Amino acid sequence: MDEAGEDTPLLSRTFDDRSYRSQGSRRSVGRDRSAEVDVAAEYANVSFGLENGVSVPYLTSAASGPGGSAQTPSNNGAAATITSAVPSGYVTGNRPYTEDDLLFKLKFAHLSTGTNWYEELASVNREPDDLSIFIHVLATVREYPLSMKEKLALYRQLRHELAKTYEVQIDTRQGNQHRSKGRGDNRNKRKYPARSSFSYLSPEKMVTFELWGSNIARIAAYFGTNVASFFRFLRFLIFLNVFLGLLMFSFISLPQIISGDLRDADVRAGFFGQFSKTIFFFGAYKNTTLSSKALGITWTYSLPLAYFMTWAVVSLLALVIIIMRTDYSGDDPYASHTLVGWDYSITSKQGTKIRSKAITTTLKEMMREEQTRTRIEKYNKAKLLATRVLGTLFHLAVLAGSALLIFLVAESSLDSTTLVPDALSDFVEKYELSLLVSAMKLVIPPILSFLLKFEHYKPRTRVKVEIARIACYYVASLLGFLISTYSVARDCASKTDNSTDIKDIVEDGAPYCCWENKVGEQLLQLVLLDLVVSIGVRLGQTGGRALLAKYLDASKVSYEDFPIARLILDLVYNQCLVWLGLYFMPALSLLVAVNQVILFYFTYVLSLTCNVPPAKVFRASRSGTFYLFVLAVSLFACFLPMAFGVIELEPSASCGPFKQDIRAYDVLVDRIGQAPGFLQDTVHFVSTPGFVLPVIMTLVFIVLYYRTKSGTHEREAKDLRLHLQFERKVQMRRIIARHNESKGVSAVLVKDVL
Amino acid sequence: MGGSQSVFTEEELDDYQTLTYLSKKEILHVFKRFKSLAPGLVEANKNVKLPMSKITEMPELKVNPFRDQICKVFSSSGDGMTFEDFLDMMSVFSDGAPKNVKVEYAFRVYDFDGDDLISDSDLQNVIEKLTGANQLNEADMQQLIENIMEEADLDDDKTLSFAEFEHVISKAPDFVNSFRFRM
Repeated sequence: MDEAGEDTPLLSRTFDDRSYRSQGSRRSVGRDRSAEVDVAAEYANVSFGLENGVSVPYLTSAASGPGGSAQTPSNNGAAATITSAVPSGYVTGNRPYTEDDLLFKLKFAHLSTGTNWYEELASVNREPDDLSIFIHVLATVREYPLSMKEKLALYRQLRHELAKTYEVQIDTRQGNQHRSKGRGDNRNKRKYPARSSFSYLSPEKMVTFELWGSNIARIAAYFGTNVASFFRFLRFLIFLNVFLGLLMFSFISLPQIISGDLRDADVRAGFFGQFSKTIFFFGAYKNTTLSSKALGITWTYSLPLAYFMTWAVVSLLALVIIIMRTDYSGDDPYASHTLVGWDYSITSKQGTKIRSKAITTTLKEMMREEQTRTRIEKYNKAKLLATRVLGTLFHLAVLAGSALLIFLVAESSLDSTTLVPDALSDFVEKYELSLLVSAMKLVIPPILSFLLKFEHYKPRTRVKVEIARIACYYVASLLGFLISTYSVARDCASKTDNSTDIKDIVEDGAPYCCWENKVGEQLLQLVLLDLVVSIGVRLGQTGGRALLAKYLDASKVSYEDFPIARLILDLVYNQCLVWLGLYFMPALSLLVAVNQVILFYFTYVLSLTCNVPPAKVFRASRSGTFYLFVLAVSLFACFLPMAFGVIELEPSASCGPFKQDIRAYDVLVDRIGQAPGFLQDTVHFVSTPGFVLPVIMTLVFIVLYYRTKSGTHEREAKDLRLHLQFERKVQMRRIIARHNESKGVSAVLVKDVL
Repeated sequence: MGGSQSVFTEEELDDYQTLTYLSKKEILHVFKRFKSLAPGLVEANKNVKLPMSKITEMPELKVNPFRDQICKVFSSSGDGMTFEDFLDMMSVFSDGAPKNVKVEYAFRVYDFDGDDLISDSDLQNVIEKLTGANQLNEADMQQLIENIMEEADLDDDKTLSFAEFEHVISKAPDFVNSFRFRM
């Protein structure tokens, strides 16, 4: 930066922390700076009085006087920068060169090339024995914008210096203890300051094993980070599912395996044959209590209680994990599309071209939006509103219609058992419900997105509305699906009542009913079918189009964009199935994880061969947050019917851990039956809707709490703004004061003028 | 010279490892990449200074619209890059480098005129590099710059200082992922 002369009034110049700093760093330390600091300090104090009511937290160190010099600056975030922007020795008279000054200067070292940093460091005002600044710089030297040569020089000198000191100290303090180490001693000693004593000095080579890191990097190189965010989201879901699955396994399945009862003899083969009888499903779990004697105490493990509690805890945990991962901070769309717009990991020419095009399109779109925003006429607004209300109503109607359709088909499927079972109708009957749900998943969302065109949302809002609506649709159809399978449960109950007219009667005449297994089977069916259908559809659509594009005229048929939004929605759908099925099939999340691994590789290969990057930049960070938010809401929406099912429906009498209970949560209540009275009361209270409702409210509250966290960021911005403006005022005053001083006007007078 | 193992002494590698965000293995890999830019020159003298035209042959830089700026920022002499400069660059763009370090260098990359402030003209430069020349018309460009300033320029001085830049970046968690090279 070109420095104007020392005494020129630099009023036109902008003053912020950095320009001030660079100005300071150009000068040799200590010279001539103390004077200006004096004046500045005076004004800083005056301004404190003036700026009453404006909180400028960063300046507290300035007010605290010279004592603050021992504070260790960190390099994190804007706040830290500003703390050091106002050196803590601000108020002193003849100011020494403090550690903070040095560290700040180091942080912007690229502005003062040619400095001998070791000498700078040595000239810092410190206690003769106090080497903490040396150690600190040594530990952080790689953070400073120095060239490698300068870094090496500084580092070696510092290490040399410290090695001297520390060898002396070792000898005096540790004496024999250290020497007794023997041969390895020498080497240790040489490296002592850098390696052994300050282990934090050596770079923490955290071996972060990043699963599929290279695959995701490859995707990022070709498509950019926004597509990579899809793969990261998928990977997150896989990890989540494996984690939840392992929890379920270790607290539910493992005890059962240890007990040796892998199958319940009463449970019948279901839709999946013998597989339905295994511990993959609800039915195989026993209602026994394991006990064993060890260490003189009888250890008991109640399987039903474990089943209930694990499911509840795992579900809650999933919700908490997802909500915690969601970051609701606001964003600056313009700045982030430009300043964070480029993806440095792209290496292909094609990728660059597309990225550049995408950024251009997005920026143009944003500009157009900006210009039209003000132009919408009043009656247009009314018309627009009407269309949107109509669209939303239609959307709701579609939701209700689909749920109803699923419900009706499910009902009829119960009656259709009397039909002649030839191969086809048998197949249809078996898969009826899941086929219907999958087919509707294919057909309805495109209709919804098509109709969205007429509602004239702004492009970016439109993507969000689209995702939200389709996610709503998925949840609704799945709820319809689940509730209709619940009707099987009612059916079961009636069978138990009059056990004459139903086919499912064991030879000895007792009714057999295991509706949980049936629901589990249906959900698994849906999971499998969904995998097959989505792979098939993507192969046909994307692969087919790629083939056409390759062999036909390329101008007519182009390669398909990578459909991030749609694929993410598929994942949300998949995950909803896990939320719904975990209770009926403890192993479902593990199976879905396997499913998702297949999907990962399938999508990976297919997208690298048959897709081109999306034409719009749908920013990864924001959309990633939005996806997590959709996931959290859908989990929440799935939770309610699950809670209803578990709390209100009678567990089947023929299988599962709750076969002797009227309600599943009775296991909890029974268990507490042996507990003290106050606990009993508590649990009875816990199991009432009067308690469940507040719990839900709390969850909503948690979401809202995190939502408001976005406010913190805005507050930070406000503080920073105030601070910068305030500082500029101080700077201006300082300049004027100095200018006037040189003309012989006293600073006090200037103060009055300002 | 046998394997690349023997190019550096153990101590040199130790020092490089301490001063970068790379492991020894990565440092040797970086050297290999450096060598591949001009095998003959580097073979003869590992401290050789390669001209910018050689450096920008690297795949990451070749397609990067900011390649000249990046070279300028990381070159200690201003007219080329030695291995140590190159290592510095790879370290900053590595996965291990923390956000504050990356932000620091990003600021310098976008500060075209080197006045330690990002001004209107710097922003215009950035946008033109991103979109390609003359993709946005004058009105759009002005509007865009105005909007960016409105968002990011907290003290209304019509330039972005480092603190303001850092603040904007802090809202973009994606930044760390996009400001990196593949090793």
